[in-house]
Amino acid sequence: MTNLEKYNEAFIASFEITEEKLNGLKYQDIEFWDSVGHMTLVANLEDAFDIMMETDDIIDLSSYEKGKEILTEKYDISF
Amino acid sequence: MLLLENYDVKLIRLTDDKIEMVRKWRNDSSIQRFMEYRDKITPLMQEKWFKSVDNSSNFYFIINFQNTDIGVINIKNIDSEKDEGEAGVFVYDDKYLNTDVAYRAHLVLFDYFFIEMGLKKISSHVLSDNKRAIRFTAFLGFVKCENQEAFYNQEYNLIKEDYLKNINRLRFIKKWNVLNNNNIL
Repeated sequence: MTNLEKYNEAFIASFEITEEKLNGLKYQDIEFWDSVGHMTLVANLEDAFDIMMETDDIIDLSSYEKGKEILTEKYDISF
Repeated sequence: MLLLENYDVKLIRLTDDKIEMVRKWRNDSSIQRFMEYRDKITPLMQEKWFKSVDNSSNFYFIINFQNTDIGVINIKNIDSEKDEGEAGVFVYDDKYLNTDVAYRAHLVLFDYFFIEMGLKKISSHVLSDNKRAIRFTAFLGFVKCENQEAFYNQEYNLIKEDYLKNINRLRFIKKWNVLNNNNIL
């Protein structure tokens, strides 16, 4: 599984959405991206990439694209 | 002044100088719409309310994160004979609504009142159409009481033992300890 597939799977599992809805997705866009959804997403990303995200990164993770940016710049994960 | 601090969150017991800030937050439509009481709260009403809760049965705290006051969390109506109390919260700063900060604040509060103060049960009321609050309440380990379907404001309970072994709490603490090089669970 590629990193992009792992990343997408974390979003799909956390928010019960389909892959075609991921591009441009922001936290206010869907019902399930609330605080619980956000914590679930962080846990799924941490499990998928074997990382532990810092507080500031968790707060900054506000969109599908921003998440990629954070993982790339802070956790050396390439997509 | 009572200050509870952990997980990078401070809970600062509400004092008279902060009640006007809290009143403005509470009157904001973003908060008001999730409350059972939705009329405007006046400064006089706020003062009366604060005098009625500034005691050993009610503990209201300002949630302070990264040196910013972002909301209010409380344990109220403590019954010292039954060792029970009721929790409530609102986060005003929407920057933190989609984060784990409110969850951290609850861990700080519940750790203190379950472990240090000896409460055995904490209840909470959630409006039946507040889906986010319902999910969050369940995430903390609360269970809806029986026969609540007829009510708009529904009661949930969290038992101390269930809270302490809640998988979400244990996962968070484990991660926190690793990030902070602290092996104490």
